[in-house]
Amino acid sequence: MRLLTKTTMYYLLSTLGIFLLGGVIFYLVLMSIIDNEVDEKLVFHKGQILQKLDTGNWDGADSFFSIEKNVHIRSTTGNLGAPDRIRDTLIYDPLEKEYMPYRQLVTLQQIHGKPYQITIREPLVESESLTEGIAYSLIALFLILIIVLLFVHNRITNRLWVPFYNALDRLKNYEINQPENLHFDETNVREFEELNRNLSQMTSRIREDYRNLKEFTENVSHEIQTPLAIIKSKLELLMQSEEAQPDQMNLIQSSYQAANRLSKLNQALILLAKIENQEFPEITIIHVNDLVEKHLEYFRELIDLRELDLQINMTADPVVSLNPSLGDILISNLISNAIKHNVERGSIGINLNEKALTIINTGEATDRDPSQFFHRFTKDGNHTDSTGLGLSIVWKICKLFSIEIQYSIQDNLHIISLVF
Amino acid sequence: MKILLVEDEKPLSESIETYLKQEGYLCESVLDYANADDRIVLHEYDCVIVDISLPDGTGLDIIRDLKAMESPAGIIIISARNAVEDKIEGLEIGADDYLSKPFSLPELNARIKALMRRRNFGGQNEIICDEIKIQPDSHQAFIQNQMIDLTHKEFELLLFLLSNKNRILTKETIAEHLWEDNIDLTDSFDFVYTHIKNLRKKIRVAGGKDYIRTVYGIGYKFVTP
Repeated sequence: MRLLTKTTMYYLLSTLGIFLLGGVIFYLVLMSIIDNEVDEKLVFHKGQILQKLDTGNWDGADSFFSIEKNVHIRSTTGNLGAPDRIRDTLIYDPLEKEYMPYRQLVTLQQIHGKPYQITIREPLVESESLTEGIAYSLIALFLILIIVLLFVHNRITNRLWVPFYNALDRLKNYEINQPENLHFDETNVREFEELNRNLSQMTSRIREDYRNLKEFTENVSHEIQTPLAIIKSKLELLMQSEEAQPDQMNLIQSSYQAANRLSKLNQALILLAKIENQEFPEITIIHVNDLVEKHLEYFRELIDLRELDLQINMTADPVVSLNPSLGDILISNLISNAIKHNVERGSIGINLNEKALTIINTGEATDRDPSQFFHRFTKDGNHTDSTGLGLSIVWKICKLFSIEIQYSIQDNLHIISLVF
Repeated sequence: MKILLVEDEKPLSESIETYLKQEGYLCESVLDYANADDRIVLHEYDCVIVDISLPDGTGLDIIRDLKAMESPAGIIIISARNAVEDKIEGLEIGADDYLSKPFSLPELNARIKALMRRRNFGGQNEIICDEIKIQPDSHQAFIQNQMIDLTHKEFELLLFLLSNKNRILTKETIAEHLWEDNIDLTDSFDFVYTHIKNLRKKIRVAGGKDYIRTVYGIGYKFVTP
């Protein structure tokens, strides 16, 4: 849920509460005002009636009579000193066929020496209709409020929050190795301004750290080559010496192999760094068919030596824009991978159509997520002497040239597809 | 045969010098551009091995100087940078070969020999070793003048072994020579073994001696009597 929708919801909920409470208060206040008004009217009416009775010439009247509507006078024996009583009452209305609310004033008066009880009534507004009236107007008000709020909400989202969504967009598309710093649009909202400033600072700091780290790795990789070359050459000389005993030879051989492995690893890392740094600017149109043929020719011998069954099914000759060196590395890595991770007397299938190049090889079944093999140093347990970087390099190259790569495993078939 | 080695890393330079001297070359080494420049003016070399990055200049300038003097020396670049541009530029201005560090000494030796063959005999060359005769240009090998039928890789292997005869060659070095960067293939050692086995068999069938010794766990050695 959007922040603004949420705040609006809270606003509306609290407004609803306030409206309910307000309705009750409104009702009570209105009622008491009406009561007061009616009471005053009753008292005034009483005065009028008393005057009428005083001046009126009536004698020997009934014990109960009415001089006008809603005024009833009857003789009583009650105590004349009692104060007037005003209270609410319900009187049956035969017309409406229901009880209607009235306010009535009861007073005891001596008229012409006889005590009488005078009851004066004033009809009240039905509280039901009052409540209804209040409720309707409040609901109408509330609806208007919702509409206005929604409208304002929309306007705010569309205008006020623009810088925020812009910043979000930039962050989404931000890549740490992009050459320029992250820039945000100017905004006059303080919170957004602050957010943008901090984001800018943070990303440039991260970028700086990343750059330093990368530079360090690259330097290490480059500087390591020369000492490695020295180690290798010294070991080779040592190997040639006549005096070396077999067990010493084994020690030398182990060191030599380790140095070799380090050197391979290092070269692969340097290549990865170079791809990341986009140090392969040259791009040419490459026929995938030719490229695959060329590398198959190169690997055919290895395929034969491992007695692998090679099935080629190339029905089209799509072209891709690639750096030629990286194109070579890409295809060579994929084919060598299919040979390397194959099984005894297994098979390799190479399918090429207009849209995709698919390389299928038999291999060991694994329940690992195949996409993991694109990560650095993820490798099959059995191949300790492989660098674990081959597929990372493939992945990097594909990413650089926007080629979609898929890796799936079906039973013992490993399937890698490049979708152009 | 005179070789000038221009390499600023002294330990590496010493290794190369030792190996090449054992091979019977006359090898001089210098550590920087200034000394290299002096030497090439004063002496004539058959082969110059140059490192690209030197403390006081670039190996590419030495190549340019050599070319400016119309020196007949063969030039091999050795570089740690393994940058494609360096390689292309080096070969364009007249270098004959390029090796990226770390390389193996037998590989360097094989490259020097191949280069010298191309230079000295104008393509009309043969390598004769005991009863074996090899014609690198036509990719043909003979045992007691009887041609043996070798595959491309087997031929390459024989040539490499002969170039480094009486030396221990590790499986890695051989695999790297035959398949270059694709040495990463786990099974390349098996392939080396298969090739060696086939080569031995073919030489033996043709009536040749068994020249190839297995150095257990390490590699192979081509032993000449």
